[in-house]
Amino acid sequence: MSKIDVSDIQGFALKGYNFPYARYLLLQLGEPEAARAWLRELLTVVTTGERWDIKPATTVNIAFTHKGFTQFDLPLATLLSFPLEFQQGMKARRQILGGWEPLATGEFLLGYADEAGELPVAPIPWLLGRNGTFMVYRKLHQNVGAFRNYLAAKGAQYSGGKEKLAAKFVGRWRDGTPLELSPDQPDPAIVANNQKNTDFTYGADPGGLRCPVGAHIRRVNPRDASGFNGGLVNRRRIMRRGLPYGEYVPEGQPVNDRDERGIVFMALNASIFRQFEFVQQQWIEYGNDARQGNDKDFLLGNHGGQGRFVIQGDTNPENPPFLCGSLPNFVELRGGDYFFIPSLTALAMIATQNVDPR
Amino acid sequence: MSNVSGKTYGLTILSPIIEDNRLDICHSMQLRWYLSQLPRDCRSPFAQLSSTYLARLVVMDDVVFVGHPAAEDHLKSRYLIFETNFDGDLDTYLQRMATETKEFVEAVWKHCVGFPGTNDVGAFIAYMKKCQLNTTFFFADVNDQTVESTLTALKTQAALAHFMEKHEGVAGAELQRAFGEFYQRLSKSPALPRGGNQSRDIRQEKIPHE
Amino acid sequence: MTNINGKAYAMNAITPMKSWKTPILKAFFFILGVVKPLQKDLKNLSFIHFARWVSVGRNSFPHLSEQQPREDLKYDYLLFFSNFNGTWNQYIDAFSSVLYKGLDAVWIWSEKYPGSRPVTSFKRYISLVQFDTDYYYNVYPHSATNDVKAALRVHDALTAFARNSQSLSPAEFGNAWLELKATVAPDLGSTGIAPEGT
Repeated sequence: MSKIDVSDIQGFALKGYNFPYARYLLLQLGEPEAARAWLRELLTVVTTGERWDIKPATTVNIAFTHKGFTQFDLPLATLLSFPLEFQQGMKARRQILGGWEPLATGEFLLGYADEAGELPVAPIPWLLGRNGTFMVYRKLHQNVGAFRNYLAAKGAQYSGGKEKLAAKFVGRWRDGTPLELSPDQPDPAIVANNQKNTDFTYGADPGGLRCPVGAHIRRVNPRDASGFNGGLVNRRRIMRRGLPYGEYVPEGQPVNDRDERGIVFMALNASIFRQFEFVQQQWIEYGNDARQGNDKDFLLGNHGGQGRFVIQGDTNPENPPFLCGSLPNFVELRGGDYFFIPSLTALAMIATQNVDPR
Repeated sequence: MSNVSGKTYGLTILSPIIEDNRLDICHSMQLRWYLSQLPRDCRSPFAQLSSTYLARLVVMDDVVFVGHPAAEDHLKSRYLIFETNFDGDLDTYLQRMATETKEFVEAVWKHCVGFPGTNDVGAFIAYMKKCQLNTTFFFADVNDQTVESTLTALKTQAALAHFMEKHEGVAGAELQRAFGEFYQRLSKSPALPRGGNQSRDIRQEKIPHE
Repeated sequence: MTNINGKAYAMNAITPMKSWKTPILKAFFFILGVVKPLQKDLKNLSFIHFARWVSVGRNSFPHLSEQQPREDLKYDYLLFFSNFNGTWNQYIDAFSSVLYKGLDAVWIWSEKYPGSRPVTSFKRYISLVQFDTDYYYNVYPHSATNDVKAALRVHDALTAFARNSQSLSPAEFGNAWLELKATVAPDLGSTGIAPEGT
């Protein structure tokens, strides 16, 4: 277990802040000297990963796309030493991610850093990359109306009831209770206990009777379901951040899917290629590792009106096997990119033009 | 017998390719060109050689130099590798190659040393066996089926999933009748084309009995 | 990309081995054929249709005519042919994460083999010793080995059901149908085109 210098790591990379609101400013940098001067000023207020005695009212963090780094006049050798997928940016990589076409331009923040068994591809000099992380930023528009309509229609057919059906899509009840721990109803006691809520395995449920084999959370984190003591899974983890955006419309009221509404999804990892891109390409837009053939993830898949989600079940009338077809796209990517969240040290190096690639 | 796993045979053929400096385009280049044009789907000669699961042809130019302190090593000829996995026994397969995919076999192996042609099936089989390498270890994930039974099962799986999806909520006598009709149609529906149909590749498999 | 046909990737690799090491390797494979743990892991990983290792002695390259020069090699060669599902990176990552013991036991006899961990040097070695396929045929391009195995289970279940439900009343049929559905529900994934790079 490595010892981490929390004062050098940006707070956003280490923990979710749990504020009710967040503002993501996407900025275009000017010419190098001005950019460096601005960064030097910003360094004095950037929030680190140090523990708080008293939680501050606000936090500030910063991340850069590869293009952003070029504005700082970093040496060419350094710029070329970043991982290929980060240099290319998310839009150029869209074939791997499911062929999405981004609708809006804009700037996005992405950056990840993690510890892997080996040193992931990192920029030269080593100090520039240390304590930094790559972040994937995706603005995911949610078609809440389409989801509610679909759930209502299928929920009427599903004998376990509408709420259970919704839980089967995701793998958790609406309140977050994992199906695996409580297959028949939500359980506030489990939800209240953060440890319990995330501590479960699928080993006792290989047939998907509690949590369907292709349910969302089971796909994106198979835990022990892939066998081999998690050996196929432990290098495919991502840390999630993010918040919903847009106006919330309560159940029962009409909701217009053309309104701006969705989630700003962010994932942190050391290797975008090995972690996020892999999960997106192999576990969300495809189903072979979940033994579900070409079936895509119910929530995030690019279904285009086709596709299928199969719920396993038994002869218990409350838990029947059930097939859902003709899936619309419940989620649409509106834009995104790959970012790097530098450490405080790295920010200072950039700000003082002190980067030597050897 | 390490070339065999259950009902499946793993054949590995290593045929030396003719070296002829007088040619404008050498044999290995002609062979590569021919292979690049050969259809890989239901129009492939291997679709005709219907007991074939997965087969490859590879022109091997040379062995590899892995670097110091290993010594540099070179082959004096190029070789054609033919690796195939199929149902049944070797002699039947080779015989079918010579008789049912004559044109393909001639077009490929005419570039190889000592190829006797396909007119004398016995001589062809003897030639191929002379080029055969014994497998040291052969792994087959599924080894108790035939190509035909596998394709039938795939067709069934797709059809049943489709039927179940479309008949959610249908019950009783109506379901029973619908199933009866479905099963009749299924047993009469055409088999999945061996090798697939890549010119019409769609995002999802077309349901064969629709 | 001729290494790929549908969901299958055809990998070819050749590695040199000092001749005295070949019988040791063969002894290992003989044990492998009898004791099943590596085979079992390969089946559980469930992403290889067929794979084989072929050892070719330095004097065993086929010689068909006096016009063909005889080979004069310093090493024996180990050929490896795999038909697998998934991307190249995914395949090697899985081997390195899960099968490293078995793989190391096979390739340790090859010159300059760096071991299957760490994975970066392993991938570099494989890139060096891998050579490309010129022609690849796949009888079921839209089906991974997972799909094949699932389909076989579904087919068996349906055949048994059709046979046993010939003369049931609608109510009995309904019950039997529910049981069938429950049995096959884990195995109904669709087939089709695989993601890019696969």
